[in-house]
Amino acid sequence: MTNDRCAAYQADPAANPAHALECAECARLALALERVDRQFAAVAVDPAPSLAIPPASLPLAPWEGAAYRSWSVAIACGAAILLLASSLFVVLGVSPIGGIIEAISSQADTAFRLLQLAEGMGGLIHRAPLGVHLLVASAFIAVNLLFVFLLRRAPKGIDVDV
Amino acid sequence: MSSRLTRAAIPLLTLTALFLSGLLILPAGARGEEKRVPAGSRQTDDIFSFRDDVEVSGVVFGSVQVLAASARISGRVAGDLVVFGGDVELGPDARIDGDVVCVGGTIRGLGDATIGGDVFAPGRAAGGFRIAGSRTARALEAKPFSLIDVALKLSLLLIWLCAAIIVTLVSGREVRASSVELRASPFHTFVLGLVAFTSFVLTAIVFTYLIPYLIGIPLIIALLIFALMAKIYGMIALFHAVGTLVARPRSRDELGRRRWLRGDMALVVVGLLIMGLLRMIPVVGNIIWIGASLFGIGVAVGTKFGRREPWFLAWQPAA
Repeated sequence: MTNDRCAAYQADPAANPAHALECAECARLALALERVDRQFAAVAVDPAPSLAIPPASLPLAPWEGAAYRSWSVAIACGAAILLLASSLFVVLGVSPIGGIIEAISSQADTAFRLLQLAEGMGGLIHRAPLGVHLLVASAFIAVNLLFVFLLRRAPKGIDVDV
Repeated sequence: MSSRLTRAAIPLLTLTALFLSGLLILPAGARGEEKRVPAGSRQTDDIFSFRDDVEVSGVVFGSVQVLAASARISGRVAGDLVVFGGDVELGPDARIDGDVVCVGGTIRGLGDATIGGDVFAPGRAAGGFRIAGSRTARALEAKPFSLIDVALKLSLLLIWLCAAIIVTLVSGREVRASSVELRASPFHTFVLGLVAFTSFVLTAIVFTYLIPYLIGIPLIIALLIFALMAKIYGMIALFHAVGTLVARPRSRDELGRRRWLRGDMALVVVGLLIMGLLRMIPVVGNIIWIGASLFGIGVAVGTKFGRREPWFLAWQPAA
């Protein structure tokens, strides 16, 4: 029958060694545990292999070192392209600044032209035969259904091995 | 096994469907009668033509718009000349008071003709751009690899460099995620880009039906902005992917040894230089750039601009 003193002994046998001499139940328990300890000690068991993987053996993750901002590479490449483009414009007899501005404005011009194209296309479409309207409608539905279907696939994980 | 087979079959079926759709849409087979404005005659209305070639030797006091056919002009067009899916042939005495637009075809005889407005031919030289004078026009027409072409392409490369640096600084993590996706699923990304581009074009055509109701133009502008954003972001992700394939450090030791050539910005710049050099190749360069744009649009849309969030609530996890 256990009581508070038994409980105190079982919690910390080393702190209450005298209890084992006066309680047969606890003495039996202590002997049994001692026997088990001896049996385990007799069996030679290899230590558990370490599951830790050395970091050096892992493949380089995409984000490692990614935050570094290599300004020197960016500036050097930018300067080289600028120099080359300017030289070509000078050879052609065009002001380098004017040429670069023309290239930039052409992009804005392209967007404006695309709008004009859409408007022109609208004019053409309205005069199109019925077959063209049906073709446009069916192609619109089919392609957008396919688009939605393809978008349902999730991207692969960021840690995928590529 | 069967689901893997299905996944592999979907892109192939998509490409086949797009090819067959293209065969249906593109001009082929017998055409109707040629529309003619003979020399000495005048036409006061606009000319609209579907799959019928147009020949103008006289005078048209309006615009000429042609879809899926070609236009031969040796007379005068007082308005614009717009040709979709066909060629434009200009005679030495041809005179166009407005703009000349040719999408999906080539323009011949540009150097000798008189053009009052601008010439717009996407895919020619450095994209669509204003041809300032007949001297430039002749140079472009005579040599596909002209110095002005290279200079303009280099200028555009400089703009791409600035955009790439800004986007990489602002959202480097997203660009990296898109780059990983591009390298992990290149075929799916390309097919998605192709379908997305086709969807943009068809949606724009459908929106043109709404132009008379005012809402059409804002919708087209919104679609254009979205498509441009997808292309710009996607191309930068593609630069990162190309840079990573070519110049990424293979080990931590190599990463530690490198002083300059490391980090997202350096990889994007390396990829941009490689793609820029490829673009300089006459004819093939433009095809490569168009293919790269499809990859870019695909990865931008597929990863939701690198945020990797689902577009729809019912989201299929990747196996």
